[in-house]
Amino acid sequence: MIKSVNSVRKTTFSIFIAFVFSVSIFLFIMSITPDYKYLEHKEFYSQDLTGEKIFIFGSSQIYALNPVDISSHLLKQGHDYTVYNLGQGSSDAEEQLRTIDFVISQEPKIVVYGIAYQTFYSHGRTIVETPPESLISPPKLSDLLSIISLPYNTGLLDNPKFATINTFNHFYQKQTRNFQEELEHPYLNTPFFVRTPNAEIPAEQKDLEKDGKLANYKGNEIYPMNKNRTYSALKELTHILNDHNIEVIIFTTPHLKNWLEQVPVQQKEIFNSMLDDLEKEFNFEVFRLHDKYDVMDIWIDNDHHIAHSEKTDFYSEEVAKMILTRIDE
Amino acid sequence: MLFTTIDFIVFFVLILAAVAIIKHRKFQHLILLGGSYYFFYFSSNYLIVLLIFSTILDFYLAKMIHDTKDAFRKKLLLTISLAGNLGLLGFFKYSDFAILQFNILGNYFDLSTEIPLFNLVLPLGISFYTFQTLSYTIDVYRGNLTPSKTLSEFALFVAFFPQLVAGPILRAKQFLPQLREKIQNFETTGNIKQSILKNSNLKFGITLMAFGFFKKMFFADNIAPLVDDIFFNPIGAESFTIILGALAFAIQVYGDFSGYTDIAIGAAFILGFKIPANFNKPYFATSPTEFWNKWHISLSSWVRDYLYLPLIFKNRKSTLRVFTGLLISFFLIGLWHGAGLNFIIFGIIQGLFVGIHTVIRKKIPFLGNHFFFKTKLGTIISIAITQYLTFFSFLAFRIHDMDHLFYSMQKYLLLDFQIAETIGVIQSHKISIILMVSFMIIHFISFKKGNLVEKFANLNYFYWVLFLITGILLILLFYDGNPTDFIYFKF
Repeated sequence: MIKSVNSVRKTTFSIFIAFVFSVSIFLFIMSITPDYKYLEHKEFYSQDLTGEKIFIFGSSQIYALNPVDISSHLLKQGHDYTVYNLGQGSSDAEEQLRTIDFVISQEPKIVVYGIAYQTFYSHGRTIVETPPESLISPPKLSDLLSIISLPYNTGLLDNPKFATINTFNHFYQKQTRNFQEELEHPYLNTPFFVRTPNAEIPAEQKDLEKDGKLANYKGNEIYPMNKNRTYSALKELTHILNDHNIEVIIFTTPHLKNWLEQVPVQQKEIFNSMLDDLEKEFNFEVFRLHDKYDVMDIWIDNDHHIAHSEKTDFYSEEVAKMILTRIDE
Repeated sequence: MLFTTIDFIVFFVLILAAVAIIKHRKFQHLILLGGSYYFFYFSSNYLIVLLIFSTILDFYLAKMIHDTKDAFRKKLLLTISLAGNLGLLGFFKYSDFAILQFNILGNYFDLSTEIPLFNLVLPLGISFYTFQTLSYTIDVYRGNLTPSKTLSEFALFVAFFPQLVAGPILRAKQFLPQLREKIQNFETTGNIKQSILKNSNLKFGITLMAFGFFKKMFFADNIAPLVDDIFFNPIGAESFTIILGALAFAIQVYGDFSGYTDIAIGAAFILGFKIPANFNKPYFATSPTEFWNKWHISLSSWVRDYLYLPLIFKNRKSTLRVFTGLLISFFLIGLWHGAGLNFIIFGIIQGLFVGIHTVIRKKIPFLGNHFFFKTKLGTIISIAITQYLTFFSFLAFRIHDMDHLFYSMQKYLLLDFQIAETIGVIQSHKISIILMVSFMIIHFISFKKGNLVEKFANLNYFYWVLFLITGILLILLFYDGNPTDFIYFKF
């Protein structure tokens, strides 16, 4: 009997030790793991960015926005702002939340966020619907972890997978290309976009036809609002920025007509319900560009149009107008 | 309450502590019952009423069935039980599906009105606990089981939290004796201080739970993005991409469901209860029939005992009867998984595979006994064919859109030998691919070396702690901040 009790204690102690060691090793790895994407942001935001600032967030769909053009449009109307296009390929609101403290520290006047259908793709992620708040429940693991502060990589603990994958990708890329080469940016004030010459050549019409490979809609699941993690992250981001007196402008990025026609009706409904919900919750207008330029001859693929061209200057102008509208309000 | 949340860990530790501190068995069972109801209420809120209704209904009906001598009255009471349980299941799970089909039919005949959908929330675990209570009443009706003496005992059988929401589907014959045995032991020995917490149970249970967490959180959740990307819109995809998707889904669904089952069985084992296994390396099955003896065993054996065998009872020798019985059984297995045409197709395909295999075995016995199938090469070929067919049926499990499903099935069977897109998919999902390969290697080792859980549970403490550290660390490094639903929670 005593032997059995001792064995139970030994096993319980072993479990405790395993937890302590694994969590300690995990925290150690997190604190030394160079999450290059995160560090890139940290480096940018640690600069002394003087003057009134406007930040633009989004993914590759905002590549064609020229922040210098936007600044000059605003200046013509008597508003002196330095605009930064801080978009990054495949970035989403969850990733953006990780660097929110850096953003706030720079005290931008306005944050412009370009969203698309892709912003809300699940890629296997969902929110588990939570029970009513009246229930007493233990704290969430993520809440517990976010209490812990590491020397750097703050925010990583909310989603360790980001760090693991970024590190993995970094080493993979290092093997496949010369990492030391100087990266060229498409315009000034676009620190996270790398110049891609392909983005300057419009695709041929046959490639964009419905049965052509480019126009074949390769989407992903968009979960409804109550189960959509990136939508939840976008709202959280907007709330945090608003709480710090930073104005938020949200617009939908343009898409090609053929592509839009292939988006399943259910996804369109979910997307539109999100836009309506954002307008209702934050009491602002969501500027809708997603079907505004769908038939123009400006596309390199389904959801990206050409950059570095007079043909697409209207895009930057359109965003400048949104900012002016909000400033006037 | 998801197993993969801190909420569950805290809840389980509290329950375990309470069970360890309070030695009296009857109180322990009351704690487990209260805990199980809290567990269910935590996730399902007011829908707990359905669980309680189902429990009370079957407890009293079974008692009345047992007490009555009148055969007609017995049958009537059983019918009430069936109607009550299947009525609830049908209403909550299938009413919208039925209305939708009716409306489609109405549109076809140009009827101008449509019946509005109920848009009901699917109560968590209803398919599992309904089958559990049904088996209890049917067993009492058949005279195979003495009804439970107390409502609390029966309620614990129905609501026992480790297996409440996604099985394995327990039989009263397996669970009630475990409760009684302990209580009787306690009463006869009077050993109040005897603890339910045994070291062997604790170590084995924790090892099994660790395997479960690892399968779900490390493998299944990190392979899911690849599956989602391939099957969201497979139109235009190459054959090899579809096959890759089917293989990835097979690993995901196995990791997800058997992971859940491992956690459930492990948790129950620590609490002193034995829950039967639900999986036995199904991807090494050499025939469709063997696959169903190794996959979701509690469901397939339930359907066999309560549906298939009664269906063919009068004429087991008739091939047609056996074939039809199998088709009906698998049709219902498909429908059990969800209210959707795709699940019905999944069931029918599996029914055809098992039916054809059974007929071949019956009509051409020399083929089944041929020495070639007993050789290594024969076994490998049998496994490969069985799994190729199984993964084909999994397409219907995963893809809900009919156009997408038929396109994928066509590409899966009629290979186009294109590879360019598949390479692109592999390159953009490197981590998922690495995990798939790792899973297959571990699964193979587990097949060759026997029960890995037992081997790890028997390690000395130093290596056991190393095993736990490695598992927890990998889970943490690939944790994306939010727990993901288990696939079988939707059923």
